[in-house]
Amino acid sequence: MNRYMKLVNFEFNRFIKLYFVLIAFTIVVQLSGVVVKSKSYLNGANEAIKESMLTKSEYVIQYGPMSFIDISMSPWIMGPIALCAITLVIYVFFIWYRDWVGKNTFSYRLFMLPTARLNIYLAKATTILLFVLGLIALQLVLLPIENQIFKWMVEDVYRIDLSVLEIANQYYLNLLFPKNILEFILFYGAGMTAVTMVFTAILFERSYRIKGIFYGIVYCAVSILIFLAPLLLQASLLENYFYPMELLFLEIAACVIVLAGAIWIGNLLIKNKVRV
Amino acid sequence: MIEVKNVAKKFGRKKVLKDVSFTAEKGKITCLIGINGVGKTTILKAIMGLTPYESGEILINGEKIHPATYEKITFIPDTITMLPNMKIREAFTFMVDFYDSWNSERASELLKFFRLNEDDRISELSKGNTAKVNLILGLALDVDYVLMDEPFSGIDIFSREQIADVFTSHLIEDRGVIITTHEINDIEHLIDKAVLLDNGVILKEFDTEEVRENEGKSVIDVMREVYQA
Amino acid sequence: MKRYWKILLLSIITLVVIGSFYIQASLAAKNTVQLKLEKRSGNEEELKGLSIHGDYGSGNLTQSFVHEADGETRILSGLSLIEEFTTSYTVPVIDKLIEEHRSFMRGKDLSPNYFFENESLVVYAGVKRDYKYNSIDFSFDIDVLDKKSNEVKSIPLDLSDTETYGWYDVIDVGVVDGQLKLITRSSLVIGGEEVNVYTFDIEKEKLLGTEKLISTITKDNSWTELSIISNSSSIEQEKYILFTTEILKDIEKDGNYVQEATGHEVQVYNIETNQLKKIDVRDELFNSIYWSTIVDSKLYISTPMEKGIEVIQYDIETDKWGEKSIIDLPKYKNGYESIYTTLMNGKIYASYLTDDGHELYIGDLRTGKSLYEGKIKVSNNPNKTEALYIHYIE
Repeated sequence: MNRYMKLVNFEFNRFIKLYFVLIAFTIVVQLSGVVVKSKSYLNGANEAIKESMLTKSEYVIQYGPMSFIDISMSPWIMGPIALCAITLVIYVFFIWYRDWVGKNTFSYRLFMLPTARLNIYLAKATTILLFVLGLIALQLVLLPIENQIFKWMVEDVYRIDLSVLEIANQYYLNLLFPKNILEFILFYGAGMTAVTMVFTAILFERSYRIKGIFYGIVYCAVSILIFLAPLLLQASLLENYFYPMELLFLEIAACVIVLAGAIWIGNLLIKNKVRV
Repeated sequence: MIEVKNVAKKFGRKKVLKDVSFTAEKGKITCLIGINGVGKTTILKAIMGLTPYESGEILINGEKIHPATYEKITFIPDTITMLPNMKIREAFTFMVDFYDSWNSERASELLKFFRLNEDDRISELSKGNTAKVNLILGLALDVDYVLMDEPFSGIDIFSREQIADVFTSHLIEDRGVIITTHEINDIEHLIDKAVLLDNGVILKEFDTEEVRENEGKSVIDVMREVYQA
Repeated sequence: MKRYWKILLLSIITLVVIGSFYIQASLAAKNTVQLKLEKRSGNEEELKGLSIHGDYGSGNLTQSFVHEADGETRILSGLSLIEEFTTSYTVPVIDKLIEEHRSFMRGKDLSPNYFFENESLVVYAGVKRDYKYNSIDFSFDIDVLDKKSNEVKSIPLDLSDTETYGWYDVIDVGVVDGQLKLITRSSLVIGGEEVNVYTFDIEKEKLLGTEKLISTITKDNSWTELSIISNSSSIEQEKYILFTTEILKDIEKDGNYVQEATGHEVQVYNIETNQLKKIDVRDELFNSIYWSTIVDSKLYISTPMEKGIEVIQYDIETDKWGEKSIIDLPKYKNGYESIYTTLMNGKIYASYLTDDGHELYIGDLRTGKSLYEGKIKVSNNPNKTEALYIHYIE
């Protein structure tokens, strides 16, 4: 197994404990959320039925039925997702700084490994990608389970059944699950481009310290400008010159340029400029 | 041979190294001497490619540093270069994974010599024992050159003796060693070559044996001359 | 390998889960709600080029869709981000123009109002808007493509007094004897609206003249509502454009202000002869004028009735009202949003609700004969409740 793969495995294991905690937290909170939300709907229904002498179907007509969307839009489901997302965003930074912070001189060891230092960069990026996709998969496994629990708990009369696909296509969740595989790749590809951009900005800081923060910000601004260039030109100078499909391809090209630029500059920095 | 040629470096506006040149040969122990903050550690980092420098050149066996060089040269900083939450065994596994030049037999030999236990967690070791593990991580690599940054500073007297013993053993014999210190006493008898540094400048580079034989001076005598002149 | 089990397991599970999700998604994508037209009588050829826009509700989800003539129903709210980005919402005639004159069509505002096409020319006349701090600078953006030589002529024209206009738009483009005619509609900053005709000489690339057709004013509590009735999705020559104005007034009734119409006027403009003519329309017919069309020189106005649609003719040349004809729709169930009618291309299209679903009727205005009648059916409906609203046919 080559050193890149070993590095990925190494970086992976460094975060695995916290990752399992995230997974466990997500499972516990989301499953309890399904139970709590279903119960509270049923309680509301039972009370109203008792008090106002309604039949079940009359209650549904008056107060509306329940669907899984009522659960999936609630903080019970969205909260853990947001927490996982925020944790990973923080880890994009921490995956680098943990080698420097405090008395830790692990960065010495990493940079003295007999392998191209770019491998360290790529391994850290790969690790982030794996963690992101892992959580996406977790959510895809949880949704049908949660949907089933919801069906067990709430009787037919009260319920609007949705398939997992329909649930995943609702707002907010559809940001995690693009409609088709091509879009999934483009979406998460763009996400990884952003991650590498941040990585390279971090390396600017690690190479030039205080001045590096400034370089990093300028670098990010330029990258974002390149990424947006087709859209900005289209909206300003070119006055809708491009047809939508052409614009999409230009956007993909701009994204690839930003990605290649991030890795190229990152490689130069980590090879020649980084300080331990 | 490690050749440091006209290396200059600054941090911001402060010049930490001004035109530093010296060589360190294989089979010899070269000692960089100077008070704290004169740029000793920076020189070691520069040799290892761990910090950039503005001008000059550093060659290892005639080549600039590249990834494979790390199988030939290693650096033992004054703090441990392994994750503190690892057990010694895990640290060794890491080294096996990434270095072809890792010598497992040598590692267990050293472990026995220092009376350390594989199952101990690095973060739970005493300062002296942590320094020993750090030393093993460098010395168990079959490399031509070992760079050590202040191996004796802040360590108890017994550990110090044990570490000093290592220098006279076969573990060091054929290698080239660069060691830094601000306190020469403990190792004066060990070193073959001394490089006196002050304010980022090399004041004197000399062969300790030669000076002793020809001029009848100890390293400390020379230091006194150079620094108090 | 033993040390790698965690990462391998996670990678494999991830791959399998995400992979199967998208395989399922792609299978389900072929399985969405589909509209089907079931012929009962008439000719299926009539459905060619027709697209039906509507909303379909099942459960508590409502989805907008477009049903194309080729039999495919696209769920608009189900579009993916990229599809949404790349789907053209342009009408077929514009799509055809893009296909044929890709570079000429670049950067143009793709509303059919701005285009005109005949055998030899494609004309684009849009309005450029330069947004200033508290006003908009309007100017015409006119390009004429000679289909044979592929030459493009641009006629520049800055509008004067643009600061007095709040909005400026082109509503129709026509070519009569080598002269380009633009009909524009503009609203004034001080209130009120104008309709102007600009005439250009295409050969000399020069403005020949402008003429104000209609102008309306706004007073304290009364204003005039102007409507323009022309076939907005057509880029061919239209001879007539219909204008209606209705004077509305705010009137206090039991403490609340309500709008009341105090007068109305219908005028027809003949692009070829440059003539504006008044049409005398009965009060009760006035609101039906929105469901009207002009075929040859006849205006057809449709009004829904209890069990069908009434169509009234008016001859523009002779200024005479013609006979009424009645389209019987015996199963029509009167109710909220239960019928949609549109008149275009000399035909009347109506989709209406019956006790067992929706029906589509296509009739010829000139002969008053039925051309097509059929049922609109929904397949692949996953849910027990459903609701179908048809709100646009083109």
